[in-house]
Amino acid sequence: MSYTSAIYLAIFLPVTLIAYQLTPKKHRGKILIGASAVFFWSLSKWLIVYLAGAIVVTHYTAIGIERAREAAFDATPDEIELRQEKSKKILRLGILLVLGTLVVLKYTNFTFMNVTQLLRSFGSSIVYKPHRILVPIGISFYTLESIGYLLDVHWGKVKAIQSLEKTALFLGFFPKLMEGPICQYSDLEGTLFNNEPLQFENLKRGMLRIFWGMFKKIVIADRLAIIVNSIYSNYSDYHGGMILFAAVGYTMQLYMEFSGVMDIVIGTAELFGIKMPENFRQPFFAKNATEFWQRWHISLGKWLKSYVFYPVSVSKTVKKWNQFGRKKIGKFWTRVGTSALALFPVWLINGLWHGPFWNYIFYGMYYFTLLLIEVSIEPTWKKWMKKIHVDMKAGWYRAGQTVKLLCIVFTGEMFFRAPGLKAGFTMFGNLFKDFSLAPIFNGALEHYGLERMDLNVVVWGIIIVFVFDILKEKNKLSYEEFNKLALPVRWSAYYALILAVIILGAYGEGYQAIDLIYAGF
Amino acid sequence: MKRNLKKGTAFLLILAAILFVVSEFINKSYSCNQDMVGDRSKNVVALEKERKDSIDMLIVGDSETYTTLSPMKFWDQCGITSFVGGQSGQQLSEAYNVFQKGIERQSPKLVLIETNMFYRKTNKSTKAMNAVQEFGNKYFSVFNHHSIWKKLVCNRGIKPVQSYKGFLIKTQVASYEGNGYMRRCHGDKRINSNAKSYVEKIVRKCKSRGIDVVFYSAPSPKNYNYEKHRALKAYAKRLGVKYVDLNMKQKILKIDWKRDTIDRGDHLNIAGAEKVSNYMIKYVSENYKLPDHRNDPSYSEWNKLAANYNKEEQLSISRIMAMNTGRQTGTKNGKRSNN
Repeated sequence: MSYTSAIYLAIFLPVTLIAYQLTPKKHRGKILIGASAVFFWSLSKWLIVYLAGAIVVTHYTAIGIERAREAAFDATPDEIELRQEKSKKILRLGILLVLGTLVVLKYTNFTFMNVTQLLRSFGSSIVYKPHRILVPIGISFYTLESIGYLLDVHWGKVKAIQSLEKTALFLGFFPKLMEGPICQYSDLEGTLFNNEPLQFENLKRGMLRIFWGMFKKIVIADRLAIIVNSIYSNYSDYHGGMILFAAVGYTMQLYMEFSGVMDIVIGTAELFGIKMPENFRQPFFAKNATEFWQRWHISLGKWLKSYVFYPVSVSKTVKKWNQFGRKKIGKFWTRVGTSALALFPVWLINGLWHGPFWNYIFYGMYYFTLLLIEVSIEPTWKKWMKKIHVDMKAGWYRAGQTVKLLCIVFTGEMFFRAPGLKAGFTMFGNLFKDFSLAPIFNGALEHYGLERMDLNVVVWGIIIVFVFDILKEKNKLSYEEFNKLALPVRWSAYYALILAVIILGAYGEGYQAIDLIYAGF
Repeated sequence: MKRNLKKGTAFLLILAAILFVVSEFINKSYSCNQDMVGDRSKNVVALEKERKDSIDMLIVGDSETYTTLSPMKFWDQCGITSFVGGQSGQQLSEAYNVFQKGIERQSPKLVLIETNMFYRKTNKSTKAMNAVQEFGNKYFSVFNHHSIWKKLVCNRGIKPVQSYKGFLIKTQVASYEGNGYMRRCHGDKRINSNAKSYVEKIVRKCKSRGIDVVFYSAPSPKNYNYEKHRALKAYAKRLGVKYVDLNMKQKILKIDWKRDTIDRGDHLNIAGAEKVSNYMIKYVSENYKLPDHRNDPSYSEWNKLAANYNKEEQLSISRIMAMNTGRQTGTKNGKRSNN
């Protein structure tokens, strides 16, 4: 059962809504937990014990941390230090348990395979046979949420949740189980536990968002997946324009799918009156790679910023480097060094978080390098532009920035989607061989499992989504404004969207259900 | 609150009305032109259009059905009217649906169930999903046939395929090189429990209506082995249903796996289907008394269709023979063709 399946939309969601509404207010949380358990079970069966374990560990670790900290307030300085140490120890143990589970389940094979390969290059004859390790759905998402929450409690930013039921709901709330967003406790605490009755306004708003997400996912992304998968699975046969098409196509597929699923997720939460943080904010309108990551998979970027970037930036190592740098190597290189020290772990974790594959690590390092370059040269660049009187807000300059950003993003996604790092480099090399755009326009694309009419739907679908993105970027599109329109206009828009999903959706005969990309991470 | 409830209900009723109208439009479109229906649903739609109470034998199953049993041969040799309601990758839930449709307008005396779908993987959520989809498809055909818009907008997508009461003539050849795939062993390959529930529903319904049921396994090295044979035989015995495993009749059928398969032992071509059909005609006529309609004027269209079929069958088989001869002598005609 995934968010776009008929059973989720036609059975699971309505039944959960009805049960939620009919249950007395104080027990509604239990309905959401029950629904989350059913949802998780439908995808990962008995692996639900890992989620249950993470909930219990997170809950009691947070309480332990808080108790250790609270006791420290009325104690002597020595006792305070002792208590803080205790709090740290509890935190470390909690993180070790939740993170350790993720690492063991996801990275054991990768680590042993690479270590044995390294040893073999030194003449060892050890052979490691990868084991089949079952990984529960959403483990990468709820593990980060758990770590973030424990750190927040340790830093005194939030109070520990005293009810196990609430911790279970925070980590296991079904709409965000498969693909996030990765929520911080402060994102949800305002609405997640209110157990408010269903509101007609929330239902309308949520359903509209769900169908908009469905449009992006099953009308556009699932069609693109057919052609993209076909090219990537035989990547060495293609060059030039087809590789470019694969890179652009995959980026569009990923954007339509991931942002579409986020619309469904946020829309589902809205049905229950729960506000979830946005995960996308028109990413292709960013000026550079740094801004792109403030608009693309926002919750991951925010998590890495809060729990990796900031702690590293204020760490003793960075402070020492700053002191050393200012004296010895000057302001510019000190800044570059500081940025490198703080950004490197961020992007290494970003790459590794996506999965135990070298192309993901390369993807992280690719953005690390680009962002470091941007951070390092930005002040100097601005000075130069000012000197030669270039208006950095001019249309032509913005267009140039967009082209540069698109090249960066398409290249990154090409490596990200490639079946391995070697394949990524092969594709990158093939991109410049016999470059021609003719195969894209001469009808050759119709041989990859999509008819011309399907391709037209993809193109028009993308245009529609980008028109809406432009309107949103210019603050000319909001639900509130839409809600002010006359009822026949609004209802016509609803019916048009629903019919577009039902009629144009790439489901049923002639299509295969496409798994959610980020659910695999 | 009441106002909102009224509004919500009105919205849903209008939506249902729109879906109903669109579904009716789709139904009309393909009743005018059957080629508009997607390949997978063609047999089901065609079955619905058969003259009431004109079919005596119904065949359900996946692609192994329409590549093995030819209703035209049944007609030609003993005047039995049969129809293949098979679909590519048919799930048992779908087979049940086809069976239901079959007995709504027809009064079959015999139902043949091809067993390959007994092993199609389904989990509980797939089962529930199928049930939801079936419900949607039953009342709003827009869910099932929504892709018809492509054929309505652009006629390029319409590819007429000649179907002979659900059977498709396949002429490709891609040899199966293995041998002895039904080697005896002791294990049983467990039948999917979700599949069982649908099979038993069909069997129960047939028994209550006095319809005979036969399980049959089409010859297919890719899909069958002795473990499945043992499990299917025991299952049929438990249900009190006759079971014909054609994989165990290799010597009688004389399937030439170098020539009679279209995809290396998954499906049969017309040359293989002819052998299987001949065997099953003999089996059915010896075990069941189904009426001979050949002299009944109301079935005259069957004679016309059979005449066309015979011509096409002969032509196709001779083409396969020529291809095979070409391969043996190493000529250009021997080029393998894939489905």
